[in-house]
Amino acid sequence: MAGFAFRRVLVLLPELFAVSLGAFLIVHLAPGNPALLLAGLHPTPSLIAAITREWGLNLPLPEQYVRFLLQLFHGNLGYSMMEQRPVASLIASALPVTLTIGGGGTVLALLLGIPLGVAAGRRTGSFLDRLIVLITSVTVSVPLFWLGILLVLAFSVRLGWLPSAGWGSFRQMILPWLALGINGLAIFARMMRNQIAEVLANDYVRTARAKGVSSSGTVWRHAFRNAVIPIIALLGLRVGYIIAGSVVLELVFLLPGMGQLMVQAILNSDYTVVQGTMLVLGISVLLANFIADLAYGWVNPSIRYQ
Amino acid sequence: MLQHAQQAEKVRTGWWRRRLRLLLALAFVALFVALALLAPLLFAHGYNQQNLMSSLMPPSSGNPLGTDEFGRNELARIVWGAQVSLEVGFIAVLAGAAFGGLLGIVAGLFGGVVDTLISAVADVIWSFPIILLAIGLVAILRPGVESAIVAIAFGFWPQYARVVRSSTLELRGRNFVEAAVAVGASQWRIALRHILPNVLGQIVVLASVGVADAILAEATLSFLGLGAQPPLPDWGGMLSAAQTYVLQAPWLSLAPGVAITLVVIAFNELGEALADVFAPQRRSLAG
Repeated sequence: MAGFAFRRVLVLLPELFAVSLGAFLIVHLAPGNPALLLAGLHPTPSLIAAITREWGLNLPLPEQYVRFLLQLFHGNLGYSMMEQRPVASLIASALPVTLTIGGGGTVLALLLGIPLGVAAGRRTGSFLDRLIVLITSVTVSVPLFWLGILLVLAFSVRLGWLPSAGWGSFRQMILPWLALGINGLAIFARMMRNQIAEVLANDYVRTARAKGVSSSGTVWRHAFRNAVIPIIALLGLRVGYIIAGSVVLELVFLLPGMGQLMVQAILNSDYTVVQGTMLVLGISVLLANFIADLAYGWVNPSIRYQ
Repeated sequence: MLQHAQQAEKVRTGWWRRRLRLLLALAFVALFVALALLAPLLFAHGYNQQNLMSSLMPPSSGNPLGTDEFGRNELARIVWGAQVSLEVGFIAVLAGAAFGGLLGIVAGLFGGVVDTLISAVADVIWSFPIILLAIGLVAILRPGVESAIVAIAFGFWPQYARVVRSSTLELRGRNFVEAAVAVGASQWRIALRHILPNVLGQIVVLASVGVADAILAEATLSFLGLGAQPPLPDWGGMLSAAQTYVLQAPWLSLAPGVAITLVVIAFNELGEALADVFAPQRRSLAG
């Protein structure tokens, strides 16, 4: 396990390097003078001079990158001229919103997707199975942000049951969670369906049935346990999409999360915030994949020796 | 015997169902492309003819899908919007497939450091969802349709590079390629005459599904305000604008979403059907 973890770290390090380099280069590749971009909408000569000094913008690029990394390790992501706040503090208040939406939505996707997959996989080809396959193929085709809008139309505009936007109460989280849950359920349902169907076709399951184990007993004891491992792996691979989905939904439901912060920053040319948010989201995706791989290696020893 | 007959029957109905799906998907894609190309004929007034006297009108015989906040014909904007989707979808996929395909062949043929480098870059890009990559690139390039195309193509090339690279590696060991090497054919001649024709089918399958992904990504970018800018009619942008009027004019929040969903389903189905034609071993058991 230690060797496996070590090899995985060797993959993670260059990935982190690439992401930090990408975030660093955003400011340098954008058209215009980096100091001017970082100074925001009202640059003054003294401000530009201060920023040039702080980020060492007159130094050679590799040296600037090293300074950028050093600042990063001190938790300094720069200062947003637009918001008049350090970028790190903006992100500290936005990230929990994105994580709450993404986390809740994923739990809901699992709670909806797994039972649907089990129900379909127990009797492939049945009416119920066909119905569930149809549901999953429709839910993956509907764009996530439009699904959010549809939920607002149904539950806020027409029925008036839930608030259409905003952040702060539990009721305001339900529609974003539901949107992410419905959008994500298909992949878990399909995975579960195929796993269950495959396991149930094995001889040892037929033996268990012949010995008198009940149908739900075989599903639970044999099929379900085997299907959980690939779900863990899938979950890790999905983290990026969950974050991206949460980012998009924040603009549907006007949530003060990372997506809202990042998109507003791009539209306002607030480059320190763009840089900081891209960096944090990028590192989150990489770390989540890393943790999922380790967890997968832990529950499934054979993967460690590949 | 009976089992075999049933099996054959199943395969035959499966064949018909697949043929029907292919035809339906093709018909819908053709309709989408035709509408996009014929938009200037169907709605000669363009997509930006404003009439503030009749803004936010519900669907009627004159405006089958109602009017938006500027009194513009929603149907005209949907049809003109097909042009934007078509343009972004096709150009982004073509660019991504060409660039990725080229790098994939280079990585597969030359191997060594070149291969390691190309594969590593492709892997890192591949571990991020397209929409996050695209947002990052638009941050550099500034919002707009051209930026959206470049951003989406940038997120797309790794999948083509990976598929083409692994096919190239496999083909390189085959007799006909070794024969070409033996008679002294150059690397480029081998790439163009022997490798490319053999990986084209896979690229076409990927590209069809890719158009669906690209259209979805572009609509999402425009919804975020980072893609096509007003007054250009873009399905994602139209949904974003419609959100302000969700109480007065809920119909504006429906039509563009239906359009995106149908086009995405059609290109995905087309991809599945093409996979049957080009890569029969990939045929799904579910049929």
